[in-house]
Amino acid sequence: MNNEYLILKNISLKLNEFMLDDINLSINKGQYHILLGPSGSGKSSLLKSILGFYKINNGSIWCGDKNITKKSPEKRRIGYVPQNFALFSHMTVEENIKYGIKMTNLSAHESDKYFKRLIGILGIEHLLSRKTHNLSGGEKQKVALGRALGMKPEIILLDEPFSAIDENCKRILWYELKQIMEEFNITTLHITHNLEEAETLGDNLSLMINGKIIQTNDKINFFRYPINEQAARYLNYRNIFKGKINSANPNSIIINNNFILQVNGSIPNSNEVTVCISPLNIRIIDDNNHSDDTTYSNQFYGLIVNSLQLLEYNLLWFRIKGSNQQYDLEIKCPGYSDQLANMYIGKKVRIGLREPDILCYT
Amino acid sequence: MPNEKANLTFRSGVLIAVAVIVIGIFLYVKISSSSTNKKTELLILSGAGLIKPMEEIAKEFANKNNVIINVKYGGSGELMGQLSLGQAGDIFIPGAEKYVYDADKNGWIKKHTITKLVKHIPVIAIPYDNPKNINNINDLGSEGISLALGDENACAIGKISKKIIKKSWVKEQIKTNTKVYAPTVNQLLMYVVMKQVDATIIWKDMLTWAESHQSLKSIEIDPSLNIIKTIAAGVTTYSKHQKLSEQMVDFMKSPEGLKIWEKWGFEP
Amino acid sequence: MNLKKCLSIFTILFAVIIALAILSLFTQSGSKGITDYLFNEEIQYSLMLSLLTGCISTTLVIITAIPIAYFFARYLIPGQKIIKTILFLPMAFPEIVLGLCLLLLFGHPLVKEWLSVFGIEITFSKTGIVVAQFFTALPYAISTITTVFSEIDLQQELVSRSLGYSQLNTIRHITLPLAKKGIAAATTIVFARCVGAFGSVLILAGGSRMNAETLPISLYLNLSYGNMDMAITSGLMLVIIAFAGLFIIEIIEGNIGHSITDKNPDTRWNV
Repeated sequence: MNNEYLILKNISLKLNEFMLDDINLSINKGQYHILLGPSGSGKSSLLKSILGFYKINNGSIWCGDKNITKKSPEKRRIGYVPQNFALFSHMTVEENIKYGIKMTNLSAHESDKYFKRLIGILGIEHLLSRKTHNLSGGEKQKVALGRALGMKPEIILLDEPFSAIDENCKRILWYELKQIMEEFNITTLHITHNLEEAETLGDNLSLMINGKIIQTNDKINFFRYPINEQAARYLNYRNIFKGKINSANPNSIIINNNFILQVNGSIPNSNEVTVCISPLNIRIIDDNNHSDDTTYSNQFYGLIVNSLQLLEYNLLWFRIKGSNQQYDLEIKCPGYSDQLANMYIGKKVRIGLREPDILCYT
Repeated sequence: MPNEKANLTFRSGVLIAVAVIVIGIFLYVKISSSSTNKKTELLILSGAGLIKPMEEIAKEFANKNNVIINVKYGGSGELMGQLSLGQAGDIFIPGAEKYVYDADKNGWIKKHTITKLVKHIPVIAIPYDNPKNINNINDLGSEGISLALGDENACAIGKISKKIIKKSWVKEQIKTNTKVYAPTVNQLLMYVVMKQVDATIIWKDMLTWAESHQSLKSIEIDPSLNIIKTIAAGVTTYSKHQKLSEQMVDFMKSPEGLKIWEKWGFEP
Repeated sequence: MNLKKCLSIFTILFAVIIALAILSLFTQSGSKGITDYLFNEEIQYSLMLSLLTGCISTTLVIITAIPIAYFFARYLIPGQKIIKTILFLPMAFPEIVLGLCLLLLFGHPLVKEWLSVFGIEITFSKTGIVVAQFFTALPYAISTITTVFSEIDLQQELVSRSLGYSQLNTIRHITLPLAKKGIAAATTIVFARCVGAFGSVLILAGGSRMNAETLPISLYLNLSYGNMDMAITSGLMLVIIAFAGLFIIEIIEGNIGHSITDKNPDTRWNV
């Protein structure tokens, strides 16, 4: 497969009380790959291993068809944007960006042209003579990006590039970052713990937990089909149950002796299963809209026992009729929803679940 | 509860600090009152080279007369400076007699109390095994010998060794052989003991300990060249305990006192 | 009375005591003292000798301390604590002990002979002054510069290397420029320490008048002659050098140090 550009084969690394365990990953040329995982899962350590700052105990790192496992960091030609950016504080913005350009073998004229193009795309012409310490978070990110792109790398590694940026600026910058990377057609590995950021930016995504990559997928399947309960839990599947296959009807699962879910076909061959449902995939059924009746194979009557109104969405807690639990399901529904105005605590509603959205694991 | 524990540590810390300060003040008051209230006190300004016999004499005298003797040691020049400032001090006993007469000229010493005590004899000090075969002062001028001498201004032995050397016919060679003019007598001894130099000229009394431990040996200087100094003491004009001070000087000169001097290499 | 007032008074009290102690140097010397001795041959000699040896040993100390400090700040090897303790030991014991140790080492016949092959003579020489000053000040330099390096974010070095700069080039272009102010401040402290070294210089270099007579030795020599005025003049010179040094540090740290620590309201009680 010629298209694979950054390839990690069986990498393992042992640091004091922590280890990376048999990491395999390949990223296609020009692809934007997100490595998602909770803090402390080993994402940064993997990045530093790729850069050559940690000596891996096992495995190999390939850049195209070159094995760079044993090369020193300065010979790997991999761009790096560290967390908090680590701009050279004794230099101006211009000097920061030219620092990397100096190490390319471009002629003076070409260097200058490249520099102009770079700052044009990044939109930082007005910052050139500034010192780095009083730039805003977004400006710092651009400079750090420009500095890394300066040496014309084939691959760029971004370590939590949005962790030091104000919440309300992030979304525009996500878009801009993606644009810039596409403009340079560069292979990118971006690590983050933010699900939204991951979903917005990634072409492909990997999930790392406790030093292991447990799942790699394209964007659509990554969030829709977590590989196991652990992945589901991290990807915000809030409704997780232990269930038993219904002996009377093998296509249904009894949850907590409370309610029964219909799951045709996709039932694992086991008595005990874990069922995961995303709060996003539960709908409140409008009694006036009869088309819903057929869409949702699982329907339950019940009660809203609590609700939390957030800026962009609302969280509802739902108790199925006849249940002895405090609540059975957590539901996330859009804030603009017309129905919502009436979603007061204590209201009786009907909810629906599509069969493919019910994930079962042994 | 971590908070309570930290609090306890802090409190006991403060408690200990306060206790230390209180005990300190108590001891200080006790020491200073015991010396000022009950007994009379004499302060001797003594040449630093006299420390060994002076300690013993002071102890003896203090026991006999039930008084307290404090001794301040220093270079002769330093002690003169103290006299000039009119600071405390009852008896002045510098490393060389000359300073006593100088002090008298300035009116700091009572003339009738000036007493010659013992002799201060310059000798050549060499390592005990004498590897460079030094036997007299002329050998100090031989080639390949290195010397340490006292600084002529900083210590009395420096001035005297310069005069002695001037009289010898190898004075130029000695000058070239001299590696260092040390400001303190202690350095002279140290450099010979540590074999950094081959010989030095120093007071005989300073060698008593080293000679008895076979680390250094003294060689007498030809009497025709040697300059033997006398150590003298006198009572200061501003002493508040004239009679006791005179008694102390007499004690230094008494057979009992001289015995102590001799023990430490000073000849009467 | 609140804590702020208590602490102000407590601090100022000690500042006043020290100021008085230093001022008494000026008042003691009387009318003719300083001005007469300022241009005295001996004082001039010891001043020049102090500045010269101070400059040489400071340069050597800093050149030696930078790699050692970088090593301590950036690497960890087994037994590093022991090595560090050994290097810092001279800070903890009296200078005169250090002098004695150096005399025993460099005065040892074997070492002496070996050094004399290169024409180097350390005991009782001006070289000895530099050696004594060097070892007196080295631990201070290592400890300050180690702190300076440790405070520099390693990430900046990592980025530089990822951009194609070798480790040495990274140190040259990133680490050292970032440490510039810290090293300059350390240099000033080291210079003051070198010029002020007494016990070790006295023992190793001998302290001969007009030969190995640095300012502290001149002070001591004159004190033992009873020449208070001249001793005080030497003392004043040392005070002035120390003062100039601290002043330079203030200026160096002024730009950055103040904006971060002095003006940052989050580090102080504002009531």
